Amino acid sequence: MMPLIEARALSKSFGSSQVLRDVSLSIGEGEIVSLIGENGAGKSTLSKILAGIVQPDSGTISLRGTAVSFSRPHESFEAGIGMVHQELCVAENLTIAENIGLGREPRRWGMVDSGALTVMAADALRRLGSGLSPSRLVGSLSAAERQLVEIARVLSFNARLLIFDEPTSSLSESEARSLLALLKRLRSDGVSILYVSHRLQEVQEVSDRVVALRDGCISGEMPYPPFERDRLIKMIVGREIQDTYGYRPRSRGAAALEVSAFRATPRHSPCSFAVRAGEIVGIAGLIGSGRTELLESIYGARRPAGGSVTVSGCPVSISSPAEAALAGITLVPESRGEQGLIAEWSITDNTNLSLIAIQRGPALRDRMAEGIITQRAIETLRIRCAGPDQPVRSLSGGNQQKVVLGRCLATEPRILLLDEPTRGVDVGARREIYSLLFSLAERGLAILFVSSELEEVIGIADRALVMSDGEIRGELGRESLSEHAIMALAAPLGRRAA
Amino acid sequence: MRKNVGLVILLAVACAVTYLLNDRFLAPANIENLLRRTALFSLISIGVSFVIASGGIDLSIGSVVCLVGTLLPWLTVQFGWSWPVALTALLALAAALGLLHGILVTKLRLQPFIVTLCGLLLYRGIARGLTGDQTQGFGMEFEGLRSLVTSAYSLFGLLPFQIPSVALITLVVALLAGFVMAKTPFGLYLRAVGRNEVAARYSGVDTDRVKIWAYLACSLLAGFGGVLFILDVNSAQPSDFGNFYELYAIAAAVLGGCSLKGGESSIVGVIIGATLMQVLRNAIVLVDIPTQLEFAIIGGVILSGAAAEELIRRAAAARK
Repeated sequence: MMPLIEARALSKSFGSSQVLRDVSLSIGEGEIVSLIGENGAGKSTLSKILAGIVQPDSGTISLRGTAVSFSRPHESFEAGIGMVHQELCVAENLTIAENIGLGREPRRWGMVDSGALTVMAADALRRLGSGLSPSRLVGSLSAAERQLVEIARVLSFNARLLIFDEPTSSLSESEARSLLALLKRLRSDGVSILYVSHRLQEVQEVSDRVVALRDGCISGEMPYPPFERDRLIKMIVGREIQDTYGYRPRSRGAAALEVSAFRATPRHSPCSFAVRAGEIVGIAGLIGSGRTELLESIYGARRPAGGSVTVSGCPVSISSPAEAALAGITLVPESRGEQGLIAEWSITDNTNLSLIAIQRGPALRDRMAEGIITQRAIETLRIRCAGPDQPVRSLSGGNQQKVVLGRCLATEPRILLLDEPTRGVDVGARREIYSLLFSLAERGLAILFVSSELEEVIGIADRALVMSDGEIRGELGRESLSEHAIMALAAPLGRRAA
Repeated sequence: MRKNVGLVILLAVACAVTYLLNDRFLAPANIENLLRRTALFSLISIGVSFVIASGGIDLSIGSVVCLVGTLLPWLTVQFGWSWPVALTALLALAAALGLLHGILVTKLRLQPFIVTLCGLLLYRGIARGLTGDQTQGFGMEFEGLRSLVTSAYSLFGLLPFQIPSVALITLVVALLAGFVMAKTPFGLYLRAVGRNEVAARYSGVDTDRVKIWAYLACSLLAGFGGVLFILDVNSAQPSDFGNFYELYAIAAAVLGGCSLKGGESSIVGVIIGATLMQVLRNAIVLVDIPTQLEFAIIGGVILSGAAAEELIRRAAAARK
């Protein structure tokens, strides 16, 4: 059978670095092909070339046997190729219907025909089995709902091929599951899907075929299930990695962070817990369960609604991140690009910003000391870069995350808070981050992290707190940690009763 | 530095064209006058470059110049305050206005555009009200104080023209400002806040304090500029003194490489930008263009310069 889309010998360079080298890929009708690989392996570039956002230097693309070339995303849309982006491209101030119809609104007398627009949007949403009202503002939707809007938008162009770039990175476990179910339904409607993801479990579950990229070349292909995890990892990193997490037990000291009767927001229930020096505690729960708010209020990035925080036995009052940093608390925030880094800046300036901010004393910057601190961060965190002056924007996701860690660790904190520490980070860099967390804990840091990936919580936490509806529903020790145990506590009470 | 190449070329072209059309452009008296005007406008442009680097804007500069500039002769001549007291009080007033802008922007989270636009209206209104809209000036008095600004030095005859004292004052301020931006943590914070305020806050920078200081520095320099402007011209009308100065200052800062999106600034660029504005104004007089066309000429030249620079930048990016 003729494939829906066939790309032959695609190559692409940005400046002096070749991102894709002679890559060929075909996708059949109603087939889900997963594309895996480390950050920087060329996955995003390949998918953007197929979507017409980036033009290849050489190579051909044919659609149902006819050669095509797209110079603008619009043209690939018309040809039936749609991309659902990693960072969702929806306008928050518009309604669902306006977003879905953006750029091709039905018109009457030159005006937008809002009735027809609503019908069009409702149809598109119904096709996805969603009951969202088209007149709702996108700003009021959750990440998962926004993604549905984006998918509905792309599908309403009669797309035959959907390209998903890390679609589940901002979704909770159960939302991710329903997305995967939706993908399978679309497949049975004959829609072809290119699925780009770091999450191997999802790849295993949804794919018909898996293709791996490494350093811009196809490094392996598994044409049919089962897709054994170890083989997938081997295709990605080019060597065998036995255990991604490498959990190391260690001794623990006195309580470093104590939180009592603490309420992050008025809708949170008061919670009390402690993290001991050398301990790694995970917070699990669905998105919207209040995990991020809890971390951010401990860090002073938002004003807590009540309660007290004690650091190494001393009560502290924290009303801003600046004060938290002085008290020895630091946070690796949820969004690297928006909260963690100044993307245009060099590795040096980013790494030193927090340290300079808490040093208050010196009136002058000490470039020599800044250089030493940066060099140390690059070495200990194994940041792969051209040099300390490289802008962090041009680093891969994993290396950017290491720069955030470097900035946080430069202040020599006693308590390390992390929100989604490995979101958008490839398998190799993940391992390095986990191993770093273990060695930090061995040196006596208290670590508290939030993660949407149950596997990650189970893999590295000594203990997990499970949140739901702004409340800590339970605590699980390492021996009792399992996906089942976490999900049983994480489901909101209303839904659990149903 | 490389960013300013286009601006330097534009400045050189403007100077060359003016000189070809009227060779009095390079006469010692004209150069001295040009230096004086450039120095005065550079001062307020440096001030606003701090605010722009932090991602904000200050539209009240011209009115602060007017308020401080007209109240100095008002207090000293009409009320007999001694000049050091009046000077100190007015500079403190200017700093307090900047502090107020900063607090309203950070703590009350008002938009900088609104806060300083209202400042623009308020301070001019106050100046006109207090002085009864009457021309304020020193007349024949305060010769000593005025000579601080109007005097010029020949630098031991090394140059064919004299260097006005205000140019030296501005040079000191510019060196100080450049030093602050390049060498101190404050400069780093300012650029961090302008680039990505959220990330700066999450990194432990006290972003509110940084922004408040930027507004304070801007108003203080505007007030100081007001003092120098009034000493330079001797008398001024509250209804038009300092009109549009904020726009000259913002234009100079933006020409000099400050992005209105924040995060970038170059003191050298700001001064070159201010110089270009003054050369254009000077050219209009020397080349006998009707002064009514002044704004049109300045607007046209800057717009074509900005468009040319963007086109060159794109061409360069495409070649890479």
